[in-house]
Amino acid sequence: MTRFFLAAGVAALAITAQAGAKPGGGGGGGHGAGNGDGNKGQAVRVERGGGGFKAAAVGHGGGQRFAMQAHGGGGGKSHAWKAEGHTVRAAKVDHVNRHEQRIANRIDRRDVVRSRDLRVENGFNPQFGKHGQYRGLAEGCPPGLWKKNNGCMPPGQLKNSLVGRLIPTAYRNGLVPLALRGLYADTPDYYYRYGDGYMYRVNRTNNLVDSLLPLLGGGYMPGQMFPSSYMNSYVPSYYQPFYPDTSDNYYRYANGNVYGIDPYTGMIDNVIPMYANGYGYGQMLPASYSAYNVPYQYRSLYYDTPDSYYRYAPGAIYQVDPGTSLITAVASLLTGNGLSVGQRLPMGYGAYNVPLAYRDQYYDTPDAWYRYNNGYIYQVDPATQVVTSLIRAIV
Amino acid sequence: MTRTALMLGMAAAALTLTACDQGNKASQPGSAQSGEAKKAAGEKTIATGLDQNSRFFAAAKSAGLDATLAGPGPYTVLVPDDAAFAKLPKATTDSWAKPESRAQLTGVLTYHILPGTVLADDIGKAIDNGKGKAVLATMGGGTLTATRDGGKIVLTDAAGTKATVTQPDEKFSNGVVHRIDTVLMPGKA
Repeated sequence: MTRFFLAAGVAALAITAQAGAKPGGGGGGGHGAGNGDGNKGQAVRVERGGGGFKAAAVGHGGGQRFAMQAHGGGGGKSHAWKAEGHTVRAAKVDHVNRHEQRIANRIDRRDVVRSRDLRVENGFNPQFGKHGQYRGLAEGCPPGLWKKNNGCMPPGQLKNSLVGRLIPTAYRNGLVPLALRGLYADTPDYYYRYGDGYMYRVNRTNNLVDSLLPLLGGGYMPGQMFPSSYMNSYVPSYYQPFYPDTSDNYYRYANGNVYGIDPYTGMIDNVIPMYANGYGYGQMLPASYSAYNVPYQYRSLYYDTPDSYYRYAPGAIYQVDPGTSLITAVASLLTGNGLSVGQRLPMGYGAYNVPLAYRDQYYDTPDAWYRYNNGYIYQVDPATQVVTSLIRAIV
Repeated sequence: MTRTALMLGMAAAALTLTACDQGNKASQPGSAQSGEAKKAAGEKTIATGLDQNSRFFAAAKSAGLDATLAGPGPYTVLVPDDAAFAKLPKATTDSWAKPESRAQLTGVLTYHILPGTVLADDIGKAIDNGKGKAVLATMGGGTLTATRDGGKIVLTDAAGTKATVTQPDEKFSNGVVHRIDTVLMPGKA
């Protein structure tokens, strides 16, 4: 029994730690894909049918804020977004009742994290005034404009302007990480370079950019205009409680990602991927995933080294190249729809699925069922179908 | 002890090989799995046990999931045979080779992976409990419906396409594989 409390307590700590931890200091600029400082959130999971000890990262204007990365020049300065932070709240919901769950998940004004609370470790972020409001252009370009040499370029023009031009100096040394060379393989006619969320395919004979492959968020990044043709593409019904439209934030859905849109400008200010549809092998993790956030039970298996980082994003633990933030492998798949102590067993866990090595110890009886999920074995009461306790961590 | 030494030796050899292939770069990413993760995964993982020439494995490699299936999991993988892939429209399978479609391919493949170790018997019991029907959660987030047809288990996807389990319960150190005869498609979210 104590073990349950301990494990559950630890799980809660881990999740709140993930939620509340300060963002790390800015990473190096280096290859033009540096992690800037700014308003970075933690990767937080969206839990459906959650409650119990889970932190529900939901709410109006919620999700992560992405630090936009500047183009050109040396080290990336990021452009932080709206001053309002995001809300993370450990919602302890006792009922399965969706309506009540929604209420519990709704933002509580007192819980809103202001940008000034998320100080960069290295010091004050000049883009935010002392009341937390976004000051706009302190350094770099106004939101939505990409830095290009001396001036700022309107969004959406980057792609057009670079194809057929010489590969920019800043990206000439943007080498594809070793682990992805097979994926983006140089050929006798072309070679690949990486910079700021795009993979550039360059013609060997003349060093002109032949094409760009966007590697982030289905191709649309914060700071870009969301295509008007997608404005009718609403978030699927089962996500709607988590991404409701408000007067200053719309949510739309495309290509496996939920996009937070500023209703007044039509610009994307947030990209939230849904499960494995969002990120994948060879794509880029946004700057907001700069901190180590692997779920507690997997930390002994997946820890950062100078050669590779591990980051959790909905659906998986990814191995990430530290310099470029490119996903070099999917280390482990995780279910997003986890089991929570105190909640009903979700749909789809009717079949016994305990790993072979543990079946002698934990087998179904009329009094108790056992189900495995994301490194833990849980006990379930067959009569009520409620997950009664977390029995064992097996990773 | 020798087992660990052997694995370490193999890992080192694999690293050296990759180094040779890629040229003269110093830093090596190695594999996706750390030493501890490899140990937890065991010796005969699903990744090593699958036919490396099969279309499923090629698709998994393209999505980077071959490295995942070498990890501790455990995973239950529904592997469509080559004939199943041949049934798909060529346009679909061609598009999967493109980097832009990698996310979509990952969604299809994770729809074939169930969390934990689910044996055919377990599915059978769940079908009986459910009076003829059981819902199975997948890693991709969607669900499959399992029913019985004659002696075999039939899985139905979001669109209603049915796949029969032709060869169940191929056990590995990090999970189990069931061979099926049709590729299942997750619903359009």
